[in-house]
Amino acid sequence: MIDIKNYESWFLLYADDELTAAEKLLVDDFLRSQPQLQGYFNAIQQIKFTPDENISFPDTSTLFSDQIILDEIKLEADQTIVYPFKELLYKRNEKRRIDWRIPFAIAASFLLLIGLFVFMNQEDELSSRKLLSNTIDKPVQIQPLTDTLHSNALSTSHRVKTRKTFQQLPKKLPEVSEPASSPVEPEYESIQAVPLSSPDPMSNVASNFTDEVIKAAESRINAMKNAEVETSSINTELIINASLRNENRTSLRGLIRKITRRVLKDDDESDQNRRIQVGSFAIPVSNKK
Amino acid sequence: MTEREYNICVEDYADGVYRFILKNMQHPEDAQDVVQSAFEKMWKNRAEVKIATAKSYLFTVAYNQMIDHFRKNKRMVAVEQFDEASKVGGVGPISVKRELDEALQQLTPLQKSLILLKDYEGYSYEEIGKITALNASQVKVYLHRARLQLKEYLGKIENIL
Repeated sequence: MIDIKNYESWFLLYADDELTAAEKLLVDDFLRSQPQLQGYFNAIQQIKFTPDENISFPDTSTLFSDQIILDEIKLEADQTIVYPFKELLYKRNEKRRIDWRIPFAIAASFLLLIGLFVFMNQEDELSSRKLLSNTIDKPVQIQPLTDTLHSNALSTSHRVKTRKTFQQLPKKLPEVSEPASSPVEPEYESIQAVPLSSPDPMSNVASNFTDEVIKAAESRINAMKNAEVETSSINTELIINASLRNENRTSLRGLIRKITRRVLKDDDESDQNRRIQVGSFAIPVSNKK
Repeated sequence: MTEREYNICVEDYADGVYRFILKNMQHPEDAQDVVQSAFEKMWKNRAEVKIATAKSYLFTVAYNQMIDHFRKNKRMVAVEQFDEASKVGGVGPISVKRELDEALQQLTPLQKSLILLKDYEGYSYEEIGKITALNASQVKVYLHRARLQLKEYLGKIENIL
């Protein structure tokens, strides 16, 4: 029932058109009994909105089903339409950066390759020299040439044969005997030409032959002295075979062997000074524990 | 709902939904988009929508999309109390209808929606509650509060004038 305490709610319900006809009559009776509230009632009833009939949806044709069906048809993009201001969209702040280490890395790689190449070539020479020296691993005794020459000079029956032997000397390997208990110094100084006593028709020849032999022997002795190989001779056949074997090795195997040789070569050095040289690089190696 | 019934709904309810949304959003293009989306959604769900509930369905969908639009654009400003500066500065000696329109914009979207659904479409509290996801009691309380705020606003304007 409407009274002085709840009239506002009734007035609002009246404005909302939520009251029945009988309830509206009750409100009217209440207002007649409380005329001072008539203004308040009118103010609330005034706050009502009516639809503006001038406002209508602009284009209802877009809402009808046929248009919606058309809209549902998937259209293919027109590839000829391009955005004309793409340049404005690109990000220019970040410039493309080239890592400065790349050129240096390439140059270092080239230098390393060149160094390895040079190192390998040097090592080939070194290995050849090493082999050369290794073949003379033990002192050998050379049969003095002068003895043979001297005996040949005394025997005319062997002159021609001995001459041939001397002519072949530079090509033929010298005879290498088993090492004796101690190397014997060949007595080169004792080489002497012995003149023939008998007037043998071949004496002139023998005399000439003896001089030639002596000269050859002396030149050979000088050569051997220059080579500072006094008590040993060079087994060239062994060197040639070793070189041939060396050429057949793979490069990797050769590299490993070269490093190994370098280490062995430096055995006599102190641990602090031991280094493995690879090309132009020296890698320190130490047995310190 | 058949295609024919759908088209009837377009003829009967498009303007009403548009007025309701436009009065809330105050932006014709946005309001048109909302109405368009509401009808498209009803078309997609026409198998489930009955013709008898089509109007309520359209208002419900349009209201929700409008609220989503406000949330996305952060235009939804809770105005529980009137801003004194806006009250005085934007009102001139004009008709009561215009004063009412000005006052309406001082309300929250929910309050506006409640009043417009009540006054424009004549929905009951319960029907309004279904559209706005409120119960009838809440609709009644919020609606009365909104009317009293409008009355207070209009009373102050009358005093100024």
